[in-house]
Amino acid sequence: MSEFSVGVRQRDTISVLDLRGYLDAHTAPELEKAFQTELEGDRYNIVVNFSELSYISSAGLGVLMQFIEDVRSNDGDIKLSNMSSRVYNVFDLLGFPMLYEIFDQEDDAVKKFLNKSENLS
Amino acid sequence: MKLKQRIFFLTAAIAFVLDFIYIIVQRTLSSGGAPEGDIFHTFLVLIMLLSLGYAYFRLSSDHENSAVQLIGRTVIAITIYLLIIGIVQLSAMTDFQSIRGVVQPASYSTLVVAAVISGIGAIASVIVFASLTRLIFVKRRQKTKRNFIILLVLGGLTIIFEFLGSPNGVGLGGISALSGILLAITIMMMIVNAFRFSWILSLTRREKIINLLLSLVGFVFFIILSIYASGNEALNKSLLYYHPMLQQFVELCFIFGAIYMGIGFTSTLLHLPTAKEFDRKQVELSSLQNMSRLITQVFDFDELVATTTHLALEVSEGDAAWLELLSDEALTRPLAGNAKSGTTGDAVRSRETTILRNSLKNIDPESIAKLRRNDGSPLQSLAFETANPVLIQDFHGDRRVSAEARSLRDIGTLLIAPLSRHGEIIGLLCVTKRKAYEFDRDIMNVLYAFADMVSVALENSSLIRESIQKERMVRELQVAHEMQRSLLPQDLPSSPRFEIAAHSIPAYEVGGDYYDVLSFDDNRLGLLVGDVSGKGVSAALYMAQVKGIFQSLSGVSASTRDILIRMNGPLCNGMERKSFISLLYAVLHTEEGLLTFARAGHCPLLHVRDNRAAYLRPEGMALGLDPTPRFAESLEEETLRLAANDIVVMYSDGVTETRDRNDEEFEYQRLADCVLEHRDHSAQEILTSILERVQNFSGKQEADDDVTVLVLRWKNTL
Repeated sequence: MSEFSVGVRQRDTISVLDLRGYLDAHTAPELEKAFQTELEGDRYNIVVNFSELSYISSAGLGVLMQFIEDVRSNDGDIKLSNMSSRVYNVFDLLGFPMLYEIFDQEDDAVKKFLNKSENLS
Repeated sequence: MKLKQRIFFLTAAIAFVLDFIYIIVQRTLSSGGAPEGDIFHTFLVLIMLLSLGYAYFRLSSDHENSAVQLIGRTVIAITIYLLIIGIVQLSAMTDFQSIRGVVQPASYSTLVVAAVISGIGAIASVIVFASLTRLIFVKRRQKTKRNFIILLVLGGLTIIFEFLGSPNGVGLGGISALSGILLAITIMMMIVNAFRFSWILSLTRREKIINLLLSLVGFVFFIILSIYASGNEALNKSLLYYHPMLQQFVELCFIFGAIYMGIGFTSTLLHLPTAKEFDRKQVELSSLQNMSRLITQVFDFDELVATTTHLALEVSEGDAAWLELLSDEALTRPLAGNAKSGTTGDAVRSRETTILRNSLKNIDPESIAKLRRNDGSPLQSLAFETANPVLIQDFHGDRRVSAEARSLRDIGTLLIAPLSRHGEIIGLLCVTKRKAYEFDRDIMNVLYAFADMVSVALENSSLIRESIQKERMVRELQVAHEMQRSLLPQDLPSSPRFEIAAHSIPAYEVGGDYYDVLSFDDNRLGLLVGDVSGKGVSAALYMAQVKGIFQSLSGVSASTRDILIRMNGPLCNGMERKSFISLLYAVLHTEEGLLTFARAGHCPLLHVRDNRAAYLRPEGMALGLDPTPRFAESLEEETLRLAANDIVVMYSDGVTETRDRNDEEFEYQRLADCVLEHRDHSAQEILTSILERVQNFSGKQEADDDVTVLVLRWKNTL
């Protein structure tokens, strides 16, 4: 079973979480920790890049649900990008595309954030 | 008292009374004639003595008395007797006359007194004799019995010869010298027998002091009584008149008593200086035995801790003791300091210990908190720094002790013994004494050995606690497993028109998958398969919640979509944010063969007709994700008109996401193929082959995820 890891990058005001490996009930706490760190640092614009993620279980999706409310109430958002079709299917089956913006490319997600802040200013 | 003993005591009493009447009658008839030498009188005296002796021996051997108790009883008996004799002697109530050497009472009153003090003398002598005999046989050795029998024979001979020689007895003049020699030999044999004092050694110091006093009193009283019994005194005359044999017996008993008590006094005195040391060894021995018990007494941690300090005090004769343990956190934190580099410092000092409340003996936590060094760090940390026991012999004069700590008046000596596990210190055992310089090398060694045992006992105790906890968890999981099974339908409905088969295999003891089949009275059948996100007990609890909500709502509406919308609200409220539930709910209208269904984020429904398989996937998001109307907006309902031999399969993602060794998933295609291959079989057979194929595909005995499959076969033979 492959490992799981989270990398965090900053793009402008946006935090990008790079997920790698296998996200299930056992590895979900690691993603939880990463989100917590971002929220504690008041960084609410978050893009999750799934390009290196091979598997996601319902527990992994649960982590996104856990933080979305908090993020949105702080005028932020969690946007998802670069999903493999396998991972996308899981999201799709559960109806997540209705709750999250999902982009093919990370840049698109970042752009969406930047546009929004431009509009505001 | 047993019947036999009573009879013998009674016999002795009757013999004495009979004899008493007899000698009065004799005296009256013979007007001053002596009863001595009279066979009948001798017979009665012998009967009295022997039955008294036998009864008393039997009585006293029924009870297990300590040596000191026996000595005490003897001393009490002779003290009482001495008092009686003293009164007789001082009040000069007796008046004896001697006719040709034969002693006789001059009056009836003297006769009565003589008979009474002879009788009581017989009782006192028997008590003395019995007690001494038992004392001699304490810790008997091979020669003990032989020596004693020799003494008995010599004593018996002396008594007989005295009887033969005495003018009050047979009066054979030439024998007196012989009886004197016999008496001398008997006394020598008494001395030999009296050196049986090994029991003194095992007495405690207190008992030795008591014994010393008792034997001194006994010795003096026996000497006085011996003089009274043998000299030209009232006692001697009374006994002689009553019977020379009794006189000799009493005299021998008293002499033997004096010798035994004298030797006893001397040897007790000699043993007294070592008594304290002996006591301590004794305590050490018993404590070591108790200590080994400590190791087995591990089921109650608090009790173990309390016993530990209790024993520590017993072993060391300390005045106060307590236990301190490092917290688990401190144990796992590595030592930053290094003793060699001299930077032991803060890492060690910051190791916070917890004083175990149950271990406190004669000391309070406030006092312990005062135990500090001049730099403010706890005195106990000395043991951590050196990893060795710390002994402060003069607490008030030691430079390591802070001025404030020196105000603790109750501590003179302080010993801190580290408790270690695998070479690492886990806690401390502290023992104090009120005076300084009180712990010697022996005590310290015993305490260190004790500390090792305590470490083992504490370790065992925590191991046992862990395993009990584990056991409990396993049991609770089992209960949860059983409960979960009972949540699934026990009997599935069937009819000539349809067959249903379903099964759920949890990955662990409890799972998050759920299926249910409900019959509504108006020819409708509800079929439900769901999957709670996450695993384990929380998933199982949510599953129970889903069942409750579903069962209460399922009758409310005929629309599957409507039911799911109604379920979403309570589930959004009743679950953690990160949890959600996917459900596929279908209602079969058994009259028309219509299947309406809605999908809340669940795996699509598999429909097989003839040799075509199709996955039907109306839109809809999982329950518990979104409490807003968006959920309702997302949800679609589909209707399927079933044809004969149609097969519908509802399942959880555990089926399609099962992986083989190459990390490849089972996928929809394999499921569809499997059903297609078995489409002519019964619902149960299709179910079994799906489960088998999934199992074979994964190649593992235990699944990674819960696997649930429900198969509906529409026969429509009507």
